[in-house]
Amino acid sequence: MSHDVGTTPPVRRVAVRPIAPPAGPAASPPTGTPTSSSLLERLRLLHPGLLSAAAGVTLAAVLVAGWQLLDRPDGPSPVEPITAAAGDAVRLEDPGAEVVDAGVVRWEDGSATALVLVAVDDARTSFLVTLRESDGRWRSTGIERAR
Amino acid sequence: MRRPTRLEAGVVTAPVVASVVAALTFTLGPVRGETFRADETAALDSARARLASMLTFSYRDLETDLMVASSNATGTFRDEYTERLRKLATDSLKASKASVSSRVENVALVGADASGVTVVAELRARTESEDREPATQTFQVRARLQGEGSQWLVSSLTLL
Repeated sequence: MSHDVGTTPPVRRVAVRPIAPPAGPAASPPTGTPTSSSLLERLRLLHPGLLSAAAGVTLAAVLVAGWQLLDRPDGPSPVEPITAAAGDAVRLEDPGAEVVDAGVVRWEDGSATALVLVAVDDARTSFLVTLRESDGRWRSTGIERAR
Repeated sequence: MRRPTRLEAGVVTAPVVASVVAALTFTLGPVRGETFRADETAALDSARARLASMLTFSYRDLETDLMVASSNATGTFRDEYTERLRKLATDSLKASKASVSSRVENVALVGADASGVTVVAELRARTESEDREPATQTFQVRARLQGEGSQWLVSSLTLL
């Protein structure tokens, strides 16, 4: 086997980035804005306990918030105050009505609709009562006899 | 000593302020959602569909209706209700060739606890039979639904 020793293989040309100058005072941003690492360094120099105190407060607040989030009550919807107020509204509308049962049809953003089943002279009928919550109390804003 | 720059002061105070705001939001904010819980909404939707199905039956295809009633109920009530429906069919439904079709007009949540939810509903039922004119009547029921797997099934039904 013969080799053509006089021919050199083609050389792949590789783009070479210019070498950056060594980091030093001249490498700092011209505006004088400290980089994040130098900022931390300077804060550490200014107040040695400042960073750890801030981190401590943050951690404590996050823990408290997390604990409260987990501990938040997630009980059933507040049906009773709504139906009680709806029952009162029906009795006011029709003093002869006897409330047989009541429930909440809809409840959203401080307003609700309750279904109140009533007996009037042995006949059964029902009312739909719309209510609104203000100052922690439910108040009727409208009442209509259900179909 | 040099005064900290605005950026330096911001880096320290921002997380503290954010944390305090977060803590206050959770502490002073509403203690619960301002609408029905998802399971309560699901139970109400389920009650609307299941009660109408259970209270719709015909002399024509009673076995299917009994199966439907059974699939919508649970516990000891399932057998009780199926048996009651079968008795009604034997006693009067077949003889008068009657059919009852029910629709839920309103359904409302009465209460919820760990074992289930209680609802009241108002239904409109249309009755057709061979010997009478079709008639429509409204009636009210109180029902209890129990969670079984991903379903809410009727575990008791009382006519009010």
